[in-house]
Amino acid sequence: MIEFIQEIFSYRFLGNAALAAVLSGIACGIIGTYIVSRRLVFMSGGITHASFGGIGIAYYLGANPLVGALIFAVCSAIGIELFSRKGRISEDAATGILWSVGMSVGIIFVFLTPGYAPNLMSFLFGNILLVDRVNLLWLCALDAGLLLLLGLCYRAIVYTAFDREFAATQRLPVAMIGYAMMILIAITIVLNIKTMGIVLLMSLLTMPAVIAGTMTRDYKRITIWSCVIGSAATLVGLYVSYVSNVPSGAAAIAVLAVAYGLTKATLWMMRKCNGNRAIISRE
Amino acid sequence: MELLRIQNLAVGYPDEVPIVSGIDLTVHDSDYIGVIGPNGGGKTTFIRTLTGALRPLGGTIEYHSDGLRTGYLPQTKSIDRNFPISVVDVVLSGLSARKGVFGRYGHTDRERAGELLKEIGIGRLARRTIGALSGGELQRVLLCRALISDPQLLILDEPTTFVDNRFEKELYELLAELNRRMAIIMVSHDLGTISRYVKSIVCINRCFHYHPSNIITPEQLQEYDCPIQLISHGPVPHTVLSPHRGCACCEPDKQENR
Repeated sequence: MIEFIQEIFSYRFLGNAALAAVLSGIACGIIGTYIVSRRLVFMSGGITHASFGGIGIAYYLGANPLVGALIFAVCSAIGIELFSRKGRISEDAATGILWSVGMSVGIIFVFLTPGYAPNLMSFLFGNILLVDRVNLLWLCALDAGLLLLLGLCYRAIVYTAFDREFAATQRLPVAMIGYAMMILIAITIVLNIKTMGIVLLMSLLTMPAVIAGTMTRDYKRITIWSCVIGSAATLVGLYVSYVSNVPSGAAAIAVLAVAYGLTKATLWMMRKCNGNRAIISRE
Repeated sequence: MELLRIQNLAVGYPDEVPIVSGIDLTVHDSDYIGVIGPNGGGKTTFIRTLTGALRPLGGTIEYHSDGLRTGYLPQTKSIDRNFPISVVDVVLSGLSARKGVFGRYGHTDRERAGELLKEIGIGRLARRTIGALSGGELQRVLLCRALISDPQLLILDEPTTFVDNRFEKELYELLAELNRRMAIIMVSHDLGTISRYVKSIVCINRCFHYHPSNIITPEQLQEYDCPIQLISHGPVPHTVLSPHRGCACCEPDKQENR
């Protein structure tokens, strides 16, 4: 462990990876709490996978793949919000369509790209060791933006997420908040593709918030705990990857799964102990 | 004092045929209006338009007071009880109109929320999450949310659904007390009970009829054809209104033939 910590400070790529783990954990913790609380997990999965379409087209055109992913993700997010708002098609169906169409567009364009076929594995499963200075700056900006937004209008966001209709009667800009949050979900997804990959990212968005939700039912505390759990799990995943040479993203998800199991077991044992204590005191 | 005037209002969902149109109604500060009608008749759509959650499809709603303070108690079935939010935060959300997007919620606001919860008899629940509440407790919390802004007009959409008889009676008595300082518009299926408290009645069943009183005669009881709960025991006076011409609730055969 000490050797690992020393190498984080010795090797830039490992230092970048450790920093990316913390920054990704914070961004995914904040957005993940919103996604889980508003039950937008499937929809977020749709946006994540639809962004692959943008990656494929960007490769074909010789542009930056993450820019293509960002355009696709933001358009998908706005599209889903628009569909569900107008009620023409259900949110589920719109998500399902965007999910598969995005993936198929991505695959078609990657195969149409002449010459060397790009290594898609790093986009599908992520590689935190490839995170560079530019990625880190974008993640820093994202975290700062999310924290600022929460600091300024935490209650408006939570109240709108809790009861959209009542918030509208209170003249809160419900539609604007809804679209802004969807765009932030899309940006968070795209900026974290490099860390976790399209396939694994949903776990970092949902599992920390679910684990935190078993410990507290307060939105603010769930957000804080999600950030801590997400960052810690990604760091531990990086360490597991360093020790056993397995992909860091998959290791982080395994760590989260173990953490979830341990949390549930601890809570179950605590409830059982409290129950026994109550029976003894009654007797 | 006149609070709002509705003229030739059409309500419904965007890009669809209005569910109810030609609504004319003036609400005064001491009004207590009961809104009745069968499911699907347009009661909730009317209420949602009145609260600003839906845009009118036609006509106007004029507010005769600068920044009319409105309290709204929606149906509890619209509430996500798994959402991680505490009772006190739900109550504080009733101040959103005053605070706006960037408003700060101070100690005074929290104290006011706590006092209100105590007044309604659920002060001990302030720190609980809404998922841990019973139907009646949740209804009380939502009532506190509607009242925290000290509204001039209180709008309630079926407030007695999923609550026990004791709370129902307490609620109606509390509303009668509140009506001394605010106008109330209440949607209910339970005409038999609300007629004891309301001052006037609106019938909505794809059409809109305003009845300026709650007095009825036993003869009219049989003529009223809306599927509204009328069963009650004891000396509770019933309200049944005179039939409307050309209205689906009173002339169903005529509507079917159209």
